[in-house]
Amino acid sequence: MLRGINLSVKPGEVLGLVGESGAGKTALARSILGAPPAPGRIASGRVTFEGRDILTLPERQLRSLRGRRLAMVVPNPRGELNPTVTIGDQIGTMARVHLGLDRKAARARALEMLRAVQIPDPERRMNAYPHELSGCMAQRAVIAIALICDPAFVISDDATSGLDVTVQAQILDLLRKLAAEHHSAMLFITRDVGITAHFCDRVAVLYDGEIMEAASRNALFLLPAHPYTLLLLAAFSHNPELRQGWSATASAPPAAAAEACIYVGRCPLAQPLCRAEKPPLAELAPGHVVRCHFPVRH
Amino acid sequence: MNTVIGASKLTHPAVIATSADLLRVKDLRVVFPTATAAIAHSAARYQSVG
Repeated sequence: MLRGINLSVKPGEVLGLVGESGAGKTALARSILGAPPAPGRIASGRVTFEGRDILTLPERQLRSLRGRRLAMVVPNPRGELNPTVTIGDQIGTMARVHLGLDRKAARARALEMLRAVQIPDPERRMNAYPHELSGCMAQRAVIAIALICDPAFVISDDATSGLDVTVQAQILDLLRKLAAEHHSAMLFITRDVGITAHFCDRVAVLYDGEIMEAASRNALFLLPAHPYTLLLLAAFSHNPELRQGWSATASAPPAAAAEACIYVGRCPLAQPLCRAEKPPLAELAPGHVVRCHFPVRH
Repeated sequence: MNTVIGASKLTHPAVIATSADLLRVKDLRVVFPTATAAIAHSAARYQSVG
């Protein structure tokens, strides 16, 4: 369940969204595209993209928006690519459907994209089927499909989670470079806090369906205020003192009363107020918001 | 060692939202049905495939 999600992305900006498995990252990504994961449904709220409320658009308009102006890079490319269609045709189809190119022009554009995503021997790969590509190449093909229409906004949902570390770095660099070339903004979803430190302009922390903290990258990493953010950073830290002071106390989010802070069951700083009253998202500094009665000050 | 003091009471309705935003999500709430309804949904999907 997602509750009271507020966030915004400016043109060309990369917003990181971090949180553990089950926090609602993918549900949020798909809800932004107007398609929450079944059987979930959007109960309330607005998603405004380029001034239009996506959630009230007819399905036909929504489909033309998805792929053309909004694109998503998924973590499992083999599951997304059609096993019976060549890579060139799958990439070219996007250009034909959304940009109105004829078959020849679409194939030329697809080849251009395969070169842009640095797939080796792109002419040959145009006629390859997904099972003939390595995991890394399949991921690059999915990125090519996502970016072929120059989308204004790209959602990268844990796009590098299944790849080797060295390949991860290559894909991240490629994604960032192409997004900059295409002037695309990006919502970068990951479980790896370390990646956001290198990759994002701003970072939002999601916990059990609620945004707990959001700030610029520097503010979040240098002055984390929410206990959960500190726990996340400690988990990736090599500092044993920090790891000892901020270690996870439960493997899954314990249930909290409706009126309590949702993090109260795990929070090492919890106080009676946290069990009695849900904290609002409060502004600590310009652009730095935190959902905590007792944020950590540095 | 980190110190803890009282929270700011300055409530913030939206996370850093400005007029120049490309995308803005406001008060989004997504709900999932109960376990029973979710199982029924999955069963219906498998039956439609089979």
